[in-house]
Amino acid sequence: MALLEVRDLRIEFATPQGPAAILDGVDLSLERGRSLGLVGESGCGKSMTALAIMGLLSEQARVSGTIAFDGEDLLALPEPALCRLRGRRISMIFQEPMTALNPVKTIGRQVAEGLHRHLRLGRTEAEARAARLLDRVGLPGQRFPLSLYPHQLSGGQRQRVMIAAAMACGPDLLIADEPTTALDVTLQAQVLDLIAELVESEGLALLLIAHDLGVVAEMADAVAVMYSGRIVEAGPATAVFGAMAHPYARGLFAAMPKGPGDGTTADRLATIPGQVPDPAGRPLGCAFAPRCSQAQDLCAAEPPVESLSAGHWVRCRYPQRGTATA
Amino acid sequence: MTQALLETRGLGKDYLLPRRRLTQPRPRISALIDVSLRLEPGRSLGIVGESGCGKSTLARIATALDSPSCGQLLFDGEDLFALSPAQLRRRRRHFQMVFQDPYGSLDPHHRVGRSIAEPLRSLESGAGAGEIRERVAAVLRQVGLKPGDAQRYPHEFSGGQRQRIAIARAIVTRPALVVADEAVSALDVSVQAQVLNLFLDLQQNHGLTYLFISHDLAVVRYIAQEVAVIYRGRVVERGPTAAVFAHPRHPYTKSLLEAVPLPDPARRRRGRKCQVQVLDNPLKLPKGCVYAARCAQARDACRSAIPQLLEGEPGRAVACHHPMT
Repeated sequence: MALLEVRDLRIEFATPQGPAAILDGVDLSLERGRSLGLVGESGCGKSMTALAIMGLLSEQARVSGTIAFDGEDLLALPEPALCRLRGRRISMIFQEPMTALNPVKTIGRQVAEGLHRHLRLGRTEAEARAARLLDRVGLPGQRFPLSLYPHQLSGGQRQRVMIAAAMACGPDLLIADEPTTALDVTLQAQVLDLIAELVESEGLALLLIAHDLGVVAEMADAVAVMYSGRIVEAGPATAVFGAMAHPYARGLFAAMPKGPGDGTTADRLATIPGQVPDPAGRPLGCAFAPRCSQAQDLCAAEPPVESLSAGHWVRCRYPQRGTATA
Repeated sequence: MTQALLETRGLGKDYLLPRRRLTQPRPRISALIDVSLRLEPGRSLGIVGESGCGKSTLARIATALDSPSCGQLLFDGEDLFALSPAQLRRRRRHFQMVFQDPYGSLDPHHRVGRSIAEPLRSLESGAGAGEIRERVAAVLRQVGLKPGDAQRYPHEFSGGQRQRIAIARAIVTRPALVVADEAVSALDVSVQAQVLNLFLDLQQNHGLTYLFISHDLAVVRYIAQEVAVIYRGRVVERGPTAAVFAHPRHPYTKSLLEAVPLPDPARRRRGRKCQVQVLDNPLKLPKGCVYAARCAQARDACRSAIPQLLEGEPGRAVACHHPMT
C-alpha cells in the first residue's frame, strides 16, 4: 500500500458567486522512497493540495475525499493527532524561507523545535542534533553557529535551514512547495541536489510542487500535471515527458523557454490562448476546452480518463497518442 | 560601425552604507565596476546574472533614475549625465522602463488609462486631451488589449494583462529604448510566452531597442541577440547570445548555463553530491578576479590580478585569465 493515497480530494470555498471548487477531485498516490512532481500554473490548486495534506487549510474550506497517510485518513483525524504527525512524519518546505522562518528565533532553536516537541529531547541533545543536521545540509558549525538568526543568512542558506528543520525528526513524507523558486539558478541547482540526496539517503517520499517543468523532470520519478483544480495527466516522468498526451500539458511544454539552447537563435514561443478559468465559473466538462485547439463539441461533457501506458493516464477525450512531445 | 543607441563607458556605481562606528568611514559597496556596453538601435541586449550582481542598478542608470559614480552613459551619442535637469527631462520620453512586479507598478486607485497617459502628460506637455485619449487607445490595441480597458482598474486584470498595461505605459511616448527589468519573471509559463512574443512583435513593428534584464537564461535566449553576463558588478563575458550560450568562455557563464534545469528526465539529479557555495563578502572586493573564490580553475594569477574584458573573436569578449576554448 502506498504511503500517501489521495482519493477524490475536493476543496470548496464559499464566494459571493456561490461555492468555488478549488480542487475538483484530485487523486494521487506516492510510495515510500519515490518522488512525485506536481506541476501547473498559479491557481491550479497544487499548493492547496499540499496544504490539505498538511491539514493547514483555513476553516472556511470545505474538504471532502480521503487523504490516506500510511493507512490513516488525515481528514478524519482530530487536530491533536495531526499535530503529532506534522513535522514528525510529514514535513514541508515552503517557497519563501524569509517568511517561513521565525525572524526572532535563532536557527538552532528552529531546527531543534521539532526535536523538543516530538522526540522530547533535552536541550543539549537537541542542540547537538541540530548542529549535525545543519552540518548535513551544508552549513558547518564553525561558520554557521546555532546562535545565528535568519537575517544573517542568504536566501539559499535560509532554505537549507528550513530543509534541516524539515528533516529533523526523520519524516516519511517531505512536501516541498516551490522550494527553489525564490533562488538563483546556481543556488537552485545546489538546493535541488541537496533535496535529491536526502530523499535518496533517507528513503523518504517526496511530493515536489513546482511550476517549472525542468525542475520536476530533473527531480521526480512520477509527474502529475494540474489544470484548474484537477490532474489532467500523470505517469512516470520518462513516459510523460516522452509523449505528453493532454493538450494543456503539451501547450505548457511548448510555451516553456527550453534551456540556453544549442547555439541557434530561438524562434517565437508557442502560447496557450486565453486564461485559466475562475474556479467559480469553471466550464462544464473539460475545463481546458475553451482554450484548446483540439476541442470539439463532446468536450463539454465530462472527459474520460484514458490509460496510455503503464501508469500513464490522461483526462481527455482526444489525447495525442504516441507522439513525441517536442 | 553604426551609432550606438545606448553606450556605457567605464560605468561604475558605489553605494555608501551606514557607518558601523562613529569614527569609521562609511563602508562602500560597489554595485557596478567598469561596465562598458554598446547597444545598437533595433537590437536587444540581455543582461544576466544572479541577484545582487548589479543588473538592476544598471537598469536604473540606463533610464537615468540613478546616476553613476564614474563613467559615462551615452544615449544616442549624448552624455545624459552632462545634461541639465530640464534637458534630461526632455530626453526621458525616449527611454522607458518596464518593471518586474505588475501588481506593484500600477497605481491601484487610478484607471488604467490614467496610468498609461501619465508619461504623456508629464513628458510630452504639448499633447491635448483628445490626442492623449487616442494614443492611449492605440497603444492598448498594440499590446493586445481593448481601447475600452482604459476605463477599468488594475485589479480587474490578470497578471499577464497588467504586464501588458505596464508595457503600454512604457511605449506610449514612442521611446527608442525600453529597459525591461525582470519583466516576465513574475509570470506563469504560458503567460510569460505571450508577453515575450509581445516584446518581439513590438520590436519588429516599431524598431524598439531593448535592454532586457533577467536572471533566466532561457528567457534571454528568446529575446536578445546579444548578452552580457555580470558577476559582482563586472561584465565577465559578452557576445552574441547564441554563441555565448553554446560555447561559454568564462567559467561563471558555464556554471550558470549548467544550472538551468531542463525538461528532460534523463538528466536526473540522483547521486550528485551537494556542494556549498562559497559566499563572498560584498564589502570586500578581491584583489584579483571577482569570481576566483568560486572558480574551480582559479590559479594564483587569478587571485592577484584583475582580468580585463578582452575581445577575442569579433563581438565576443571575456574577462578571464584562463578562458575556456
